[in-house]
Amino acid sequence: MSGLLRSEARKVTTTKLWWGMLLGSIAFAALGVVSQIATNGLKNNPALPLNDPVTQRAIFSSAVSGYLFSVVVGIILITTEFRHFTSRPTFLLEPRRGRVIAAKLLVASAVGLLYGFADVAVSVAITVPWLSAKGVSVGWLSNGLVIVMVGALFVIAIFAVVGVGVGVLMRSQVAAVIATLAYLFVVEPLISVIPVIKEAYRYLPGAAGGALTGVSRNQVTLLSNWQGGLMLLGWGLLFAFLGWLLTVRRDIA
Amino acid sequence: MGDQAGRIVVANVTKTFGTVRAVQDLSFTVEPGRVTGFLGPNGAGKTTTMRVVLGLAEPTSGSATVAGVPYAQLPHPGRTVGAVLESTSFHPARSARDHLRIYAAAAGVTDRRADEVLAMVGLTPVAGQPVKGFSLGMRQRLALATAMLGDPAVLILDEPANGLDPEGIVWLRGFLRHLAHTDGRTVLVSSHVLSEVEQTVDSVVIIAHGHLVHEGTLDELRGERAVGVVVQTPTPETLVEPLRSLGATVTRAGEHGLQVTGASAATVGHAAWEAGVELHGLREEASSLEQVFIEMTEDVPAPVGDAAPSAQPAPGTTA
Ligand SMILES: Nc1ncnc2c1ncn2[C@@H]1O[C@H](COP(=O)(O)OP(=O)(O)OP(=O)(O)O)[C@@H](O)[C@H]1O
Ligand SMILES: [Mg+2]
Repeated sequence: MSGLLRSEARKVTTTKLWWGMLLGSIAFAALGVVSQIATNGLKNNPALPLNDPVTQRAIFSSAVSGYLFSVVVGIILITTEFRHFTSRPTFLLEPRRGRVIAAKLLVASAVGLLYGFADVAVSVAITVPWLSAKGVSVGWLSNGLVIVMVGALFVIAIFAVVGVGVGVLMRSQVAAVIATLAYLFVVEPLISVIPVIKEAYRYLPGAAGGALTGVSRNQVTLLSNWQGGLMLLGWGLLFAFLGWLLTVRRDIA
Repeated sequence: MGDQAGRIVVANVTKTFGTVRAVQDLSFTVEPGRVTGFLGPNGAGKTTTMRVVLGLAEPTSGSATVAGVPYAQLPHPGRTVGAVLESTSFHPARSARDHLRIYAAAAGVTDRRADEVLAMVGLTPVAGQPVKGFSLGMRQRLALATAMLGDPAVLILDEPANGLDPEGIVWLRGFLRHLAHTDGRTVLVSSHVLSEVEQTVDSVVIIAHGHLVHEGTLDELRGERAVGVVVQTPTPETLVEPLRSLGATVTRAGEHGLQVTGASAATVGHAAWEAGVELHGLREEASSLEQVFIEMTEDVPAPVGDAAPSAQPAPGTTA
């Protein structure tokens, strides 16, 4: 298993994908944080002061924007293998396919965790000096910021696993990326405003991730922190399971 | 290495894709210590059979074993079997060395081994270059190097000569024969042209439309060749009747020639002498192995389930 993990890790580190996507993830996280601070007090942002716990949580949770790149990196890591048949030698060397997919998922979650750490670190690096320059003190524990940061990290990591699952389901790289982005940015927000089904919104992956960081869309009540975290973990496990199931059953090209 | 160690056994394997029966009730055995050609025209089911042997595709029925067990149960698959399939498996942006190190880790061999196999196939000078710049022949060599990582007792190679230049083909021939004859490994190589592997293989397994049509040594196959006699004479028409009365089959071969089967050169010469026909040439000629191969594989019925019947020329219409 350790050889397999090393092999899967080398698949990641021997192309430029991982750091290109990492830069994108960091840029999105930074953008999220900066826009939160910069628009504070403007008329389209509730003019709660910067030292308010809600405002501070909103700022720190913006680091989660980087999850977009972790889900895409998860998709690409697996669909590239379908496209170039690079998993075939792996399956020849380890015919117990469950182990191969487990190694893939572990490495994908490690990549997701790395992105999460980087995104959170960058948001802290931006926020702390900025707020202290404005004379605002940061309430790490009293304002619940640590929980928000751990939540963002967790969301970013889990979405890498979700990406691998989606990639196994859809196989086509372009289709999987487009479908995922369309789902997260069009379908899920639509569900949150359609009367009958909007109650289900809070259980969906995007909203569950939102619950973890306390960001709501369209005033729908989200799950609590812990419920959201468990729900998202459930989604991650579901996609991991589907990825495993299909890989074990399908013929390898 | 024991006798059983490197044997590949395919037993009554059938594999269907939807309505297409790619492989039907196929059985054969591949022995260590020799190069076995796995031959059949395009679409015969060679790649499918290899995928079944390698555990990549689940057979619809039947089973395949390597070294006595199904592939998935091999204790050290990478050390037992090395394989190259027809579509190569490289990420274009990766260097040859990185590619090999990825699979070296999965095979449980050292990175040094990756450099060894690179040298073995002559790719050391381009080890650091991304595979996207590689020619087809270089890719085949890299695929072969990947298969050799675990120093396997069995090699399963799907059309490994594809894309190799004449020099490369000579190199491959020597390489494969060495692996089989000197090292005692099992080498199974597929091809859709017999002449491509004729000088490489010791035995052949020939399939068509998913069915086995011949299994045996190359020498046995040579014995299947039809031997005919080619006669050159300024008056071929005068020789046709005397030969036919002897029971031979006679066809015209050019303006001054006849192709005779069913009679030896001596018989034909004697008949000509008796009939007073002037002869300018008389020689026995065996049909080529490729001809035998083509005849063997073309008169196998198409698999049931094929949508459209193929347009077969009626017998006897050949010009
Ligand atoms: N994954 C698949 N799905 C559907 N049909 C398939 C699949 N793989 C192979 N076939 C069909 O099975 C038959 C045998 O194909 P296969 O690739 O095994 O032949 P082959 O002997 O390797 O041919 P070639 O010399 O062209 O490589 C063909 O009719 C092919 O179209
Ligand atoms: Mg083939």
